[in-house]
Amino acid sequence: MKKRYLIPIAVLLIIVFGSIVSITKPVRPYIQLPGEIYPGSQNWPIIGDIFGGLTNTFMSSLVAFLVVILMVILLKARSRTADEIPTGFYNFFEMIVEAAYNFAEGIAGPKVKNFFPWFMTFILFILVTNWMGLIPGWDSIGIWEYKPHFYAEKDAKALESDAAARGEEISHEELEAFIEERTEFHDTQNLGDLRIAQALLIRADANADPNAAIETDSAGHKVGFNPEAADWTIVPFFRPGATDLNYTLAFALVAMVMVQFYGFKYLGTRGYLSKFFPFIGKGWGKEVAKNPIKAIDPAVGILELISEISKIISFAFRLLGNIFAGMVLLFVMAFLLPVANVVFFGLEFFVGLIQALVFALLMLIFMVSATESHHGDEEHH
Amino acid sequence: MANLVGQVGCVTGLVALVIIGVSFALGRFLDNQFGTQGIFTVIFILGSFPVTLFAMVRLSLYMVAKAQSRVAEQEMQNQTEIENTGKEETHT
Repeated sequence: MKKRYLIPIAVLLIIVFGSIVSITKPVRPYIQLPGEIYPGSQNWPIIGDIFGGLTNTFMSSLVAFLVVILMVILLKARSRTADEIPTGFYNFFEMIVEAAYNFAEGIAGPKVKNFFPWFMTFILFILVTNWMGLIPGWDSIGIWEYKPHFYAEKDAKALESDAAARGEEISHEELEAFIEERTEFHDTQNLGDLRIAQALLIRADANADPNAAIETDSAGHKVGFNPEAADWTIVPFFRPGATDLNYTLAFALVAMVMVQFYGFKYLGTRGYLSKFFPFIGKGWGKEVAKNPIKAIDPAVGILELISEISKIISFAFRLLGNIFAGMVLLFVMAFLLPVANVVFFGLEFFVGLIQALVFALLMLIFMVSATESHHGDEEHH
Repeated sequence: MANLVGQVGCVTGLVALVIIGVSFALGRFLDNQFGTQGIFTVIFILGSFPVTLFAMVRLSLYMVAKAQSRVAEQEMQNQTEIENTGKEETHT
């Protein structure tokens, strides 16, 4: 097949996938900020005990990491046979890396050799996780979960921690009875308000029973274990990593730790710390005597220290907010204008790119400013 | 510089939300006014997409251009500072 047909085919596929939403009646989306835990994974040996379950955002990030690592290995293998004229994806990738390198060099100057791997890695990982969310089915195919049971488990956890705070212990049987009772309670509350008409979905919850009777509660809502009743939601197998604060915070922490690391590496312990605590710098007393306004510098240094911490927060929430809002937009638009939703995939494509670029660019700028000394010419000593 | 990049990162998201939200609300309002079955909403939402995309691309290009020009400016400044300090040292 000729390569020029690939783009029209891709566009056609996007339109076909987009149209599926308008033909079928999928689950009404349940929007939840924390990554959804796979039902049942709370009881898995190590993951359940330590982390409280496996989240779909974590799995999605793992897949993204694998994709990036695979891409790197394949491209590296391809680069060994580089004496010919590069073609195809390798050529395209080389072009991108080169452009990014020149851009980073313009900002970081000769330090780019140290900073570029971080810059490019962050762009690649964040870009791949963001764009993966746009694959049809990525955030929409998953496991059914019975909502009241989910809420009952939350209540049970609260009860357990309450008892633990009092120093008491609740037996397993008691806890199960409590969960059952709370499930019944939440069932009547009809939380979630979800309707499932046609199932494109994979059924993996043992509680789901298509033959179960559909009951009606006092408010006239359908409830019960039949998947057509109200209390069902879907836990997608994968959800874009950046819609989980853990992912963005992890990247933000890595970025800021590396910024500090390079600060120490380039300026030395004393030189870097004197940015925040000027009085430990060389000849500060003399400088203050010469220019008394410098006596305020320690207070400014404390503000600088706080701003370093606030950078972590702004890093984490900027990425989370943009990508999460984008995914919510896609969900909402899927129900407002099913076929036209395709154009918003195009928009999210750009948002994903811009956010990855902004994150990496900011890290690069912070790295550069952390490695610049106060006096400008101290590096030459 | 860092502020600018951070602002662009936030503003691109905000611009999308505002443009799409306003056009959706406007479409709904017009549909209510003329009693149509959502045709205005569809047109406005579809119309909001190129506008948002244009705004986003312009903003990010502005960011990149600004980043590069600031760097050039800074380099110039650094150079003049170094020259000045060199002169001062020779004077003293």
